[in-house]
Amino acid sequence: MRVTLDRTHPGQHLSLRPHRDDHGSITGFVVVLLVAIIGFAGLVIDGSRIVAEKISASDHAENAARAGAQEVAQLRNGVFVLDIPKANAAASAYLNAHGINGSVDASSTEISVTVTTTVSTTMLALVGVSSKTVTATRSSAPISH
Amino acid sequence: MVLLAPMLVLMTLFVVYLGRAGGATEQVRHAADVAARSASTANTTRMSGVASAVARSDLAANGVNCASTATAVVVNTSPGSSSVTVTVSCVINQSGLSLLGVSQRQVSASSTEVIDRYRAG
Repeated sequence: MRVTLDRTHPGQHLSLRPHRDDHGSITGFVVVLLVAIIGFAGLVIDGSRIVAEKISASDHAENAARAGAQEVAQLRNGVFVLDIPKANAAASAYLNAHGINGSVDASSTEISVTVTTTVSTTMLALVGVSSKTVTATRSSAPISH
Repeated sequence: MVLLAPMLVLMTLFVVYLGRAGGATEQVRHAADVAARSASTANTTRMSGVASAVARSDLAANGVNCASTATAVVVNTSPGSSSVTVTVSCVINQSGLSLLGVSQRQVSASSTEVIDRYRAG
């Protein structure tokens, strides 16, 4: 905002009247507002993208864990233990089939899968956050009821 | 300001639209997830109906980001690795945003759930 001291009327003291051609003040306000709106848009875009990716990652982790937990050994003995190599393989097969990065950790009672994905941001990249890593861990266990 | 005000209003509406679009993406993702999980526990003949019903109720419970929704269910019963895939799609709700003049857009998500190998029914 530019305010000039108006001395054109000799009878008056210095008056803080805006100069007649001062059209810049409103535009400056709008620029600030525009930057804020674009910032909000960026947060909305990238934020929702990250949340969607988180939901997706946890879904995939859960599905992979359940795929692995199908590999129950010693069912005929009435014992619910996982066939660890088969469970690992089944969960990994799910992850590979869906093109997902993840790690599988099976024990005899439970299998847990951690999915890690990276979301690249568009607007947050302007403030130095070019990507966000999203992880989700889900586990699955065979039970009888 | 008179000239710029409409633009600012449009920009604000655009942010609202982005929020709706993002919300819709999350909602279909979640709806596909829970629908597939529910379908995987249902009897094979009822999977399709269960998936549609669950997806619809999940979307209805979670807000107003979708104007209309559709659900497609594919059951894969190959021996050893049977699974059910649910695809949920949603037309982004644009009520109140007609000033923007964006065309109708659709978001969709699918989820594949394993059908338990050892189960009753």
